[in-house]
Amino acid sequence: MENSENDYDLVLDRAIQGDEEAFSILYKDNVKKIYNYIYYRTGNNHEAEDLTARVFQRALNHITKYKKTNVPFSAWLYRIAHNLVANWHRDSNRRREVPIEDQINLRIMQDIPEKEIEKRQEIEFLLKTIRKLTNDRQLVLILKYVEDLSNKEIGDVLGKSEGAIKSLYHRTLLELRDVLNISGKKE
Amino acid sequence: MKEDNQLINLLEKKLDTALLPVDIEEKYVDQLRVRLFKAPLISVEKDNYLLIVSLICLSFITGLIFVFILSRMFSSNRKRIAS
Repeated sequence: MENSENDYDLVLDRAIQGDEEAFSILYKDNVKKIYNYIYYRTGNNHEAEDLTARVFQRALNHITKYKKTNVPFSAWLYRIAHNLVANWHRDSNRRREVPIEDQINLRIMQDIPEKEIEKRQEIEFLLKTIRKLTNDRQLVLILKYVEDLSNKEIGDVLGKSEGAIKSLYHRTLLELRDVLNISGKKE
Repeated sequence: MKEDNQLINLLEKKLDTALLPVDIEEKYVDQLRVRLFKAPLISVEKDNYLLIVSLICLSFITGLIFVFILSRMFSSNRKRIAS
């Protein structure tokens, strides 16, 4: 365990010195995490691919300025991803486009049983509600459920203690429960 | 309180089904890696301000020298005509 950590440290050192092969290892280790994070933040496969590419492009351009700390390297990538997603949200709010995936989904849904459609709509509504949470709260949920990380590991990424993550997660659940409850009553 | 816990448990189950890892295409991962390390086909040319300023200065000095030579030539011609 300690050995692999040391190896990872060496790879990171080499990447910071501009070694492309080392950066390639970091890329392979993190690309799926970053893609998943962006996918759940944007809800769009094509945007996730485009933004993931931009995250790693930016990381590659600035890797030599990266300062090693106790926080894992992925935290830096998540931060870049967060900034790009925030810009994307700002720009797409300006454009107000209807995602193509939504239109395709509507067409596909015509061939699916009603119960299944209801289930999908429920999941979609839950995901849309999650996207309205603050960045920290979204990240906690994505890391916990998608990446299957423990509170301690999430704390490492966010630079917070295990207790703080536990409390943040609980508050996130309460907020989601309230929002979903209120929406349920309205419907 | 018990109802609250039940709601939270239900919510956690819903999150478990909604937030599943998304598979990323291997082809995309490989293509992106190649794209990252390949030199860009289009290069963005940045303005070289030092070069522009030097060119302007050089042409200004050349102009001054040219005007000086011309004025010397005309003044010597005028002197010759006057004499």
